[in-house]
Amino acid sequence: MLLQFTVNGKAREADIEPDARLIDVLRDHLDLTGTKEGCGEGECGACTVIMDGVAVNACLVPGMQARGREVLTVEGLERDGELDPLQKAFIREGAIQCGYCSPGMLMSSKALLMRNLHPSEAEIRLAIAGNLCRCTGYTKIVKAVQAVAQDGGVGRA
Amino acid sequence: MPSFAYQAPATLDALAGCLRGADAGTFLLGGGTDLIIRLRDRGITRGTLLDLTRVEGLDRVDVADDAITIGANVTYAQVADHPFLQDRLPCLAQMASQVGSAQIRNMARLPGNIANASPGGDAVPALIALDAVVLVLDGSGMTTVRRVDEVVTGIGRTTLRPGEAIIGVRIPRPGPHQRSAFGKIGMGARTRVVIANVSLTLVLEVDPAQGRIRDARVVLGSAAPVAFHARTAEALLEGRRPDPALAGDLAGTLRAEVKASIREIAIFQHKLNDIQGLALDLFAQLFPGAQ
Amino acid sequence: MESPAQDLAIVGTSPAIHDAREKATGALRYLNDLKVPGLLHAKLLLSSVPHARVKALDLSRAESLPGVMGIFTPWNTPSRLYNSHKWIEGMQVLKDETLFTDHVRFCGDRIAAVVASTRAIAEAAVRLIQVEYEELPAVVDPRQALEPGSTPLHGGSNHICHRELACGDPDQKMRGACQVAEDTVETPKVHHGAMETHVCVADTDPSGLVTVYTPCQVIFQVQLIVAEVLDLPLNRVRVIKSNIGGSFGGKGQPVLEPVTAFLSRALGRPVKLALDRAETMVATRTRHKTIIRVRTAVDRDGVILARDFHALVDTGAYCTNGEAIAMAMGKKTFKLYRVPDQVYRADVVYTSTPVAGACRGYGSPQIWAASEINIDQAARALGMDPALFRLRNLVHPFDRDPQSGIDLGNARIIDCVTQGCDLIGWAGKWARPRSAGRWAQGVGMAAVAHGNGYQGAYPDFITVDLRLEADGSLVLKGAFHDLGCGTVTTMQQIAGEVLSLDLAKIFIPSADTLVAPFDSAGTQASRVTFVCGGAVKAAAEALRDRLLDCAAEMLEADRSALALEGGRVVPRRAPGRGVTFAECTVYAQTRKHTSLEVSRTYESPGNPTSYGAHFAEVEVDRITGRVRVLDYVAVHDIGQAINPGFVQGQIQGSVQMGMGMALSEELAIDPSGKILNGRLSRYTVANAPEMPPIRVALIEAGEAMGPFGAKSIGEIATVPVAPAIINAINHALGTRITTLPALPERIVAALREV
Repeated sequence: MLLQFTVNGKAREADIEPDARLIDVLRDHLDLTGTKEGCGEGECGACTVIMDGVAVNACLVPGMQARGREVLTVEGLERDGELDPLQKAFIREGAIQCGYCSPGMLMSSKALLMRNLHPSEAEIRLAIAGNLCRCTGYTKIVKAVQAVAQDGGVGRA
Repeated sequence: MPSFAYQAPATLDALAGCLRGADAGTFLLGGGTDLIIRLRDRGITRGTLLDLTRVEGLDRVDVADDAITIGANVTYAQVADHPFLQDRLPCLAQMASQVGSAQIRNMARLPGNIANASPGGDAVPALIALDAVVLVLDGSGMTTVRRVDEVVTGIGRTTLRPGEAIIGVRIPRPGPHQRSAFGKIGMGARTRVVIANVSLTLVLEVDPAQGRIRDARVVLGSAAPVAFHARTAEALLEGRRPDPALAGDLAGTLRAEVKASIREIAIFQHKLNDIQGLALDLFAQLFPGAQ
Repeated sequence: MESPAQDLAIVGTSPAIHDAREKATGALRYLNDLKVPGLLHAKLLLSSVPHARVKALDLSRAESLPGVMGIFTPWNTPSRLYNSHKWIEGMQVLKDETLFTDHVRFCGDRIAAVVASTRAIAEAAVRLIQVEYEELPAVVDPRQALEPGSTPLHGGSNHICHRELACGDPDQKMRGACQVAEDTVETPKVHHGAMETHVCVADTDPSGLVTVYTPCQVIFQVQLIVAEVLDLPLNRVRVIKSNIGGSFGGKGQPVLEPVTAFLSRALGRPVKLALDRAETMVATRTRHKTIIRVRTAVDRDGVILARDFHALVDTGAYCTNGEAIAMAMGKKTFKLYRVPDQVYRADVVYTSTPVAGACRGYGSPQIWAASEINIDQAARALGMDPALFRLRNLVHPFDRDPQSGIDLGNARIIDCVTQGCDLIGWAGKWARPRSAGRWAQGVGMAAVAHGNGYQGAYPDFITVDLRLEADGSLVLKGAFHDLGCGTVTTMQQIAGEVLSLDLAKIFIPSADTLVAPFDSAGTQASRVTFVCGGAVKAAAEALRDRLLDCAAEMLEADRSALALEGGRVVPRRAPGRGVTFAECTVYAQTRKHTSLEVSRTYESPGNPTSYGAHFAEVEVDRITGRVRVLDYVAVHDIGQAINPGFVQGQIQGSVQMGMGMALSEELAIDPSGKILNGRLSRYTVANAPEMPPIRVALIEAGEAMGPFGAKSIGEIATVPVAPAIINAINHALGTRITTLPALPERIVAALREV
């Protein structure tokens, strides 16, 4: 089946099986491997992408449901060679260790800041409650999101 | 390799047409959060995926004088954030805000919970407590109205037949004195993103003149194959004024209700502890002054 | 916070991990992200019963599926026995593993593999294989495994070995003591929980060279085992470490590599074997479950007179490192308290459960859970503050371990405890009267010790090569396996400090058996900063010497008048002059006909002990048994933090892991051997809302044996967490909980016994 949708601002299409998951479409058909599979059941959040403005688990979205929609993946955060303030903050604050959860964490955080420019710490933790990390204890990840939130979402260089 | 057919009707008429041709190999697709896992777990590689999410008009919450209708494509996130629901049907908004993670709430919708009839689901108990009905469309184009507590009959069992799809959930408009609350305590010692070990929905009115409780509805979830009214708890609350003694009585009564349901099954015994805590928590939430 | 005077410019700073940008943009490719031309996909057939003989496999439907390239079973593959724990030739190990088996010993044991052109076809084919089992009784409880009648998993008995370590005369001292606190602590089988599941890719070239790409911890161990199992010469097995999404020991033993290498050789094609989360949870490795009885004899003043440990170690269905874990646990017990009379005994058994292997801490989390829970109880029986009780008995700097005689080094555990008590407000919180209402607060602590490498137990050396290129950039080759913890950056910092060179100029290629010189033990035993870092420092110093010699000749100056600064060799009195490293290198190459490169084999200088003390404040709901961790302080005696940011990250992450061990994580196996919660929706790890605020303090008093005074942190960080939390719960409630995890129902049950 032909799937046509927008990914990271570009019109994309793929010929997929009807039961292909969005994560399969992104990783296998479009070679956007930044989105990771950690559990296949929507528990770990490593597959988080933003679809039509909200965070979703790509491992649970049937690919055809993305038809005509706008999907933002971690590869789409960088614009014209400039990292997103969240990416810069994650790097600066030491919020990245093995990096496997990082794309999903970035996307959940991005989705949060898209709706709420000044989240409290509790709101940040809730926004990433569906993103598991075994390396960082979440401490520096939360700090990175707070740093961006305090800057009004603009972030520092 | 075998494969699926995929249908994504754009209107209710088209949906009815798809339902007409539906059989046991037709899988209704809403948010997909359950279906994907189920297909993979069971190794199902053929059939028809009937996607409901493109049907126009099902993504609204309609507030009318007599009832609130939540379309089948309204997500839990939208229910949780809806100002009217937060204000007047707080148990529903609270329930929705506690379903899974943000990612799950952004995709999953109410009908999935009802159709899957999982004992650990959160929507069914809250909807039963609110006397909710579902609007069921079939292949003839007819929509029937059925009570949620009649649709869900057992673990994974409903009265829904192939060729029927829930297109909305309707809840009687709450009276001006209605209060409600929903809570759950999860399995696995975590507070967020948990499957309920037990859930509690309280819906009641407090009569403004006497300050007494009336029309109490108390529904237990994840304490039986199907969520049920805790009748003794409802009787207990009726006519009482909220005070600390009542909180304790409620906890004790609900514990007894859960005990009667789970009997001696060892792995369920902790539900008895959880329901006591939950009862006290929700009571405090509904009656903050009554400590 | 004291530290020895060191004038450091790079060590002690916190640059980001070397590949942070690539990880943040999603550009970094992990093994499962790589596209390999002609790649075939493998899927395993795992046993669905805990103990059985496989009488027959009906492959007919699977074989006839288009796209299936081969099906491999116990009957058409090598049956050589091996032990995946062996990492250096000459190690004595019990060999009981095979590639595939027709005698399945746990739910998840490997029966067969299908290789197909796509993953979907391989998965479908595996589902079509019919297995005929002849079931056998399964022993699941390690206590039963000790009984003589239990059905043996590997012939003989399920009792693998008994070990003892002792000093002084503990039995006699125990007999004479008037106060003995005894506890039996049970620790769970834990899933490592790395976010990347297990995966391996192997390729075979026409000459027979097998290349194995794997997210691993010890390339030479993978090479050794693959060569052994497939009967290949070692120099025809190349192992390359791929980018890795966490390991924590779970990817330490080669589980998939021998299988994948075999499949690739059999088919002459590149083959990928990727496990999903459920398979990773049950069919790779777990932490060892233990049941540890500990007795501590004390006098009325709170001095420990003697200790006696017995550990029952459940190694699962195959032995792997069961014996090593038992020994590692035992050795640690002598390093924390001044107890001249102590005995540790251990028995290792098989059970029909998922295979245990290396897991962060390698036995330390288990043995210290037992020790520290029991120490609290001993203090409680005396009516003593457990912090003061510990301070009375903890080791002092440069004490000797009474069992091994090893110098403990600059052991600053007393500083850790006193600082931690200060930070969390211990005295007031411990003395707080127990609340009577629904919620109870409590504080708990744990003090622990962990090693720095293998010196004294196994060969502990590494060779590293350092080469200056003609443009002044540097290549550092060694078997460095960055698991996400910052190893590469740490080595860059050490080399950069010695050479006064910007990190960006130092390139460290991924561990590759054809690139890296030999390393005796890889990434385990907390040896990387201490031993591998020491090697890098030594090699960098050797290179510095060469540079000074070269520059002295070029500048016609005295060596002693020169210094390294910012990639140049400059006269101290005239820093504006001097030569760049690039100029030195070109000079060496063109005039001296030599290269500026060094190779250094560095042996671990000793095995000092790292120490840490953690403090937790909790609130427990007496009705539901739910625990909230309100506050957390971690103080570590680390010698010198090479990268303080990384150190904090290790500690913060380890609190998440330890909280799981204390409160919620256990691979639940029912008495019949069935795994009840082999998926993440049922195996609960702490998510962001659960975490307490975590304050980290570092004691940097220097350890002479470590590079720039550094000691280990990556494993010890998780060791004190669980007992600190359990002790806090017991303090809050007056309970004596000793079974981990302290699930809500267990807490409520314990309350009934108070």
